[in-house]
Amino acid sequence: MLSDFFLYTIYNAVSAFFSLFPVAYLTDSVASSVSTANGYLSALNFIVPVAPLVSIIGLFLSIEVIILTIKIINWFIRKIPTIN
Amino acid sequence: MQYKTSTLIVSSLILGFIALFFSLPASAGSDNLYLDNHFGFYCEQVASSTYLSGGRYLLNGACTSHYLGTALPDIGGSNYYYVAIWQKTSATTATLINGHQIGYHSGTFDSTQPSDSFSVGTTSKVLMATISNTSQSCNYFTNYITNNSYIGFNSSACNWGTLMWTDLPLWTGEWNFMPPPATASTTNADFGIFGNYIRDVLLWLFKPSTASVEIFSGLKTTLETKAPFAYFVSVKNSLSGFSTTTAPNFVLASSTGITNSIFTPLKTGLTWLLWIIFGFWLIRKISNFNF
Repeated sequence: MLSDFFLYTIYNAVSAFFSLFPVAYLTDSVASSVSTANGYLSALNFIVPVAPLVSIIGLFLSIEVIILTIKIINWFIRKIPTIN
Repeated sequence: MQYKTSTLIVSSLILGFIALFFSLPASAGSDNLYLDNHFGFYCEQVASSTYLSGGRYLLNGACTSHYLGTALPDIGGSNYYYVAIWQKTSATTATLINGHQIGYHSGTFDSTQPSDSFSVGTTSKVLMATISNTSQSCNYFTNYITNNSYIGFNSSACNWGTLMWTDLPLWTGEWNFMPPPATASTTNADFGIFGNYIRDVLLWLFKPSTASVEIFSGLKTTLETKAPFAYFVSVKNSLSGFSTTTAPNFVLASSTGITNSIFTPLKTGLTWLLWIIFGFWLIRKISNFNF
């Protein structure tokens, strides 16, 4: 009862916040461009370590996203009065 | 003399509790099962599995309008019958905890029956079986699972009889006074009459429903369609199809000897170099991280 009330309230609040963002989509050109790049990179796979390169880029982006998320959360926390 | 409204309310509550206390049966909370004051366990002849009510199922197996009540069950002929109570012991098993064989029994159950266990549905708490047959060789322990909702028995060996289960609390006092647990599908620990009332109220108040939790899974889908997250998701999905085994757009002339002696070691070295650079970057990132 009470838990449902709070959960639905949170859900509605978050949904209302998300509704502020526009719906976006990328055209099929993005997928085709990646596929084309895939063909060129695989041709260089005999010397360029493509798979480790992709893994490292993925880790790099993940870490940056995590750091950005932490900074955003901290920014919100610092907006609370009496917390500097 | 004039009374305050609050005084009247408190007095009424106290009187109500006293009346409720004295209205409780003597057996409330005991371990005895009294079939002469029961609820729900009855059956009628059915040809196939039938849903009765309140989460009870009656399986096929002729049952000529007998019931477990104050009168002798009419099971037809001079037959044996057997009443057994199983209690759920885990998510999928039940153990015979008591039973009575041959004849109507209105008092507490015997505890001399051989124990046995078998699988049960995931939602049942207490099982009650009534089985009758012209022979005691009735294969009543060959119960099987038909699905996760009810159980059956070998009706070919038991010409008359039925088997049903209930998720009602076992004891008579609870049958009389306890409402079914509000949402206590996970645990039905017995805290006594009032304790169970409080338990159910707490569950009703604080246990979130499945729908209220699962509704958040839709947020992820919604978020994946919104800018700027949608761009990231789209690129991520495209990159997930990336493979080094894709047919190359061009082929560089080379030879196996050159590849094995030069390019492969060079590629290995580059791999190590990339990971080392990433490691240094990560160390620097962590050491300079400013919250």
